[in-house]
Amino acid sequence: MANNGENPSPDVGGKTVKLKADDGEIFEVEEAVAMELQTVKSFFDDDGVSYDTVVPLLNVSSTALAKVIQYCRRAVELRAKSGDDEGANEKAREEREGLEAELVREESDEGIKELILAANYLNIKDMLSFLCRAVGDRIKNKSVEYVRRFFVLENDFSPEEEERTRNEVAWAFEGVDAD
Amino acid sequence: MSNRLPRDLWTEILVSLPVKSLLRFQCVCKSWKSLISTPTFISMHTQHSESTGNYAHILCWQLRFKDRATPYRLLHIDRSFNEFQELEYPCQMRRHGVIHDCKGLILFTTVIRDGQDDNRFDLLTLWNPAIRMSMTLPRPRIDVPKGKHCIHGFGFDHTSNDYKVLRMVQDSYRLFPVLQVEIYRLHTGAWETFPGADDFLYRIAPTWQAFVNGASHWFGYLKRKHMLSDVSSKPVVVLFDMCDEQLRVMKLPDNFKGWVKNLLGVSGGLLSLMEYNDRRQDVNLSCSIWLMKEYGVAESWTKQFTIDLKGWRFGEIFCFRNNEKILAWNRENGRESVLYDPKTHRFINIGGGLGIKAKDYLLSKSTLVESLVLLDKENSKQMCQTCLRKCQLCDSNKEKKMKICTRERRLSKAQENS
Repeated sequence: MANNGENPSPDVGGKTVKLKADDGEIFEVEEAVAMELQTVKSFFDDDGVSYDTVVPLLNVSSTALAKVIQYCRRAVELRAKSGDDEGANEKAREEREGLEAELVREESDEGIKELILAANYLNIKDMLSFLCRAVGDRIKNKSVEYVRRFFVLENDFSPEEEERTRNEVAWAFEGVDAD
Repeated sequence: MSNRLPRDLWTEILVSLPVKSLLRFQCVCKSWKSLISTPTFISMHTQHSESTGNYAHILCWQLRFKDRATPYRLLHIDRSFNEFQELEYPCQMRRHGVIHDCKGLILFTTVIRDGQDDNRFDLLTLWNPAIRMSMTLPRPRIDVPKGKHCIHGFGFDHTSNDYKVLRMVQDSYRLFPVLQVEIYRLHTGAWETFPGADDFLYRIAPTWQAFVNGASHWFGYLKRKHMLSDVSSKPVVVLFDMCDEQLRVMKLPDNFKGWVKNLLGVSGGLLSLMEYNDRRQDVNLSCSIWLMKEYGVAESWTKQFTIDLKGWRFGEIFCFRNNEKILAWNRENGRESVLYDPKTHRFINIGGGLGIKAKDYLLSKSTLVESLVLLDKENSKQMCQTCLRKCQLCDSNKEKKMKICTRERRLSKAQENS
């Protein structure tokens, strides 16, 4: 059983799955948590793949994978808590929102992009959804230049074209955060 | 080395942004400008805007007779009714008649006299206040000569994701008025007349529509072929379905008396009816709200509650709100507006807080969604703040009134003068 500082041993009592990050680090996770990652789920849905097989996740760094696993673990726990009781559902929803906020709060722009790419590759719908919303919140009051840097996009407008577009919606440039 | 997010994630990120950000981000690069102004993205963004309700506001119109130059003022009030923000409106829409709104777009109608004869037609303008763009519709095909009037409908067809404007021109005084109908679809940008509407059996009451379930609704009366005809004058609901573009009729509750000053509206997504009850000395003492619980089923009309207007000397209550509060007009306090909450049966005076003075006639509508609609239209124009003020002064020149002011015109004028 692989054991390292970033991935404390899960409770024994259920099946586990091994996931390998791009640097070779192996994470052992409970089956229920691993199945949150649709990519992993599809991997095992194929006939003849044994649950002992290590899943190679070549496009995900170990830092990102650790955070993804931590998030999915909490998400699975919270989902188990909610049921028919509206009060419990509401509480679970609030906790999940708190969890999401915590995940992105300290992240740099590069960090959040890395998480999105991981969530995208691993096909975790809910996580990808809230990460996209978080990025949206982060950039909504930013300047055009900031957004270009964030998305690594070249300005392919001619100076005249850009000037024309800016003039058409000049009011939209008011109140923008300083870079 | 910076991470680069793939193209297929751009839409998911951008769809949740407010319109102001999206307008600005058109300048990021050509692919973004192209993406943001595609009809598919605009449609997705509007849907998202509606479902999250983050940017939805309740919009009120005001008519001020005192200030002739600015007959209408739009207020944008947030859900708590604590804040309001004045919105500018396109300068060419100063002298307009009726206003409708639907899913982020507002329709203004202005009656234009056509030359020397008594012919008239309406100039219609669509306005998206969120992106401050407006577009004038082409001239309608059916004119409104003397003796006729025009009833407008405005709605959204979710099957084709299209906004549609309806014009129904009807004889004002005839016993058996002829009806002419035409429709404008935003996707095609053209008017189309409907043949065969002239034998429609009902006269449509010239009131505001109630748009719900993809259809516009009005009161209607069976037309009589001659004075002594024993045809009942019981009102019905006449509706125009924006999706299949058909005129239909629905029954009203059996005990419902008449349509004068009664209202059709929308409450909580249901077709609703406001009926006045006791009336003493020109003052309504109570009114009842009916809801059509099951759309299309006449038996499902249910009297939801009755409002006791005791002592308040209410004038007309004229609209429903999506969040179940009803805006009304209190004669006592110099026509200040009040809100009635049917859950608590309490009246909340909001006139003072909104700066609405006496003689202001408040027209309230439902939630206005932020959308990018009209961004992709070639002939839609941005409003120009400077021209707005200038045009209020150039009242005499009719041609100037109808011209759409653009920023280029202002800039070129500035260059001329310098």
